[in-house]
Amino acid sequence: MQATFPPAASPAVSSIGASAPGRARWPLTVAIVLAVLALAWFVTVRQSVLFVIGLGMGGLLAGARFGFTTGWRRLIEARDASGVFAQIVLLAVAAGISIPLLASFPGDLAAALGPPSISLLIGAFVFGITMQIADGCGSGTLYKAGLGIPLNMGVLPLFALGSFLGSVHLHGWLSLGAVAPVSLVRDWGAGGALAATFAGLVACGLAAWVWSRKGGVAAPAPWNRKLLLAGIGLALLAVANLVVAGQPWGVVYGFGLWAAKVATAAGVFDPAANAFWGQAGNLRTLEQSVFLDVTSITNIGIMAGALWIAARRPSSGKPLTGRQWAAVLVAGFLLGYSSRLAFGCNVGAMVSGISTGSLHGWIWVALAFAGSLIGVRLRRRLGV
Amino acid sequence: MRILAIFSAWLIAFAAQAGAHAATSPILSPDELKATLASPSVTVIDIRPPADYAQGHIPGALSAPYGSWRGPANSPGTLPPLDKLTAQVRKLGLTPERHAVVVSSGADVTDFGAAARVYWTLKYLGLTRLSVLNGGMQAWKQTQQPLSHDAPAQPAPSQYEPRLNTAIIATQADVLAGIDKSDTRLIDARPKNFFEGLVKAPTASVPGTIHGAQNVPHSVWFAPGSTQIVSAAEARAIAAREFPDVAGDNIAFCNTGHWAATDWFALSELAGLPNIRMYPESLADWTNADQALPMDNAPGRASQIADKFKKLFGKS
Amino acid sequence: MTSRASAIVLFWAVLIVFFAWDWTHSSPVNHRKEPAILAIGSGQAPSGGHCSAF
Repeated sequence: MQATFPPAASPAVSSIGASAPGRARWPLTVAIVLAVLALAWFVTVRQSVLFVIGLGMGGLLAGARFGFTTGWRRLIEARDASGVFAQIVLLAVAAGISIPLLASFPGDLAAALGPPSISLLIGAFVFGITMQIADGCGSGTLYKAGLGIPLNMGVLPLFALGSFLGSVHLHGWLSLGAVAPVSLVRDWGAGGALAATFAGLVACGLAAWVWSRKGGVAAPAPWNRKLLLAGIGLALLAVANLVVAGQPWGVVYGFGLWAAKVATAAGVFDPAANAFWGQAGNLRTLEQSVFLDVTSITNIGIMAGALWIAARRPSSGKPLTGRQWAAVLVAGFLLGYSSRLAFGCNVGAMVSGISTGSLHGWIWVALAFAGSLIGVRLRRRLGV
Repeated sequence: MRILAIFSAWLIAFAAQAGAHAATSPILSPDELKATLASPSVTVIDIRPPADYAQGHIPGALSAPYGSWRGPANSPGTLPPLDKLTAQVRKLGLTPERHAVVVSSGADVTDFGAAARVYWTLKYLGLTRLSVLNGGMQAWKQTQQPLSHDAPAQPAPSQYEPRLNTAIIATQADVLAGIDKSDTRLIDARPKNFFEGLVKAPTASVPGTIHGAQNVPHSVWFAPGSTQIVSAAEARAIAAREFPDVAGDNIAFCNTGHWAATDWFALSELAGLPNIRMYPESLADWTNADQALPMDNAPGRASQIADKFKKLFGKS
Repeated sequence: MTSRASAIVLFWAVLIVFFAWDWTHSSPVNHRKEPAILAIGSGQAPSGGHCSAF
């Protein structure tokens, strides 16, 4: 059942109409250009550039419907490895450029180094489950919300709430057991890190290939040109993020920050008393505008870029029953919570972790994929 | 004959003793310093780099390089921690009774600021019998005064407990409170091009000056071509010309509290004006504060953006 | 306007209201401390919040 991929031109969306999106495009373009200029003038030039990078990411994600979640689900259910292959190519390109840059500019650039920990194991596994039910991971939730799909728009605030609470409880989770982050670039140099990363990616590719050929059913060809090109484009934008911000692409921190600000302003949260938000850097980020935060500005850019795509090609979403909505929203909350425990979502942990040589990215993928195996089944059972 | 010798020795000792407790002049010429060297209560502090000190110093002078009185590279104007300054002062054997004479190289008018800064620091720590050698080692050598090449005997360390003279120091908060107050005068001791925002020191994040400041370049206190500061009378005349009215509070600043020390010294010690303070961290601190503090002659947003792009392409 | 379009408008309206509220309730941007456009080659360590932080 093709409930996962929205049909290209469904009668359900003709009510939005072909003319309305065309009309919406130009004012939207103007608004986005003004936003870029306003960010450069009132905030900083760097944040304006990061917003543009986010626009590109959103455009590619939405334009190519590049869903990490969907890609994994297609492999699991339909033995279609095209999405996973595109993700592997993305990782290879991103790692191939990021790792040498990290080795050459150790002071200016930072890798996404999360600690291997109990919380990582649990968080990644739960993320893998819930991302299938909420039909979107970190980047997926963002671009689909930008496209205007109600399910994902509804998930977003719960994602933020979950991510915030995850950060509040993080200290407790870490005390269950954690070791220091492992940086392949620091330990093995650029050459060693690249070799290990490419070997791992080749292994993943082979595993996906074998899985797609299992069962003797004629599986779709694993090379999807649109997805591969989008994957390469996203990898280049991820590198641009690293080069401009000095840190890799991230999604989850921004959402936790937004919820933290609301909670602090409402008087229900005291950041100074919290192990995570009480750290000097986080306290400073809390009192500054979200436009100055790196992950927040790329998140906004992704949503705006996807919205721009939606203005030409609106997408449909299946209407959900009340029970299904409840399940999805709970999954969305857990998505946010687990991604904080796992030190990132598919973007922050998988893409950024693996492409900058962090061991935690690999652990994340293994556990998240295992979780997705269950998540896909749960999703079918819910009929989402 | 012997009685005469004994009497003369006693007379000299008495004179030296009396001289030791007489008021000191903030400025000493090389001849005046030479005469004072006879007194046992004089400590000459040479603030030049150790290499220059080793090549020849005033007999009996102790080495305490300028950097040891200053803060870290990103904000040299910051005072070192009090315990470090106290240890240094004690190691030099300084007490309230001793007459400390600060000697720098005298190579140019900027160098005077170094001696003035150390003088200011010692005064801030509560010492009062302080002088600067006018013209520094350059003037000393020009008047054919003797040089020593050996390391002098280290003095017995003192037990000096600093009594901070807070009347001569201004903090960032003091300066902020003083802006737009009609009775507070902010004095920018830097050359005109710094004041006008055309030039910036590496330690400041932006060019420009503190809002409402007046420009009194440190060089006004020197005759053209001379590295010796003007006399007290001349300083009073210059001050009257620069400041026709008396202000209740005057705060001198520059980039890192070096040139500002010259202005402070000239106004407070030479001209004898009251209520003269210095903001030691100066613009290196002011421009790097977390919040954007009020400034004049600072670049507007458009030129800041242009600057960012220039730096981007300048790099590549 | 369809319910779908109004949902999108509502979504963005909430976002924009949040950003406006946040802008007015945050400390003003200090342009004197504006970082270089590119972090690479700037000589400054990154100081932003990121997902792998703990």
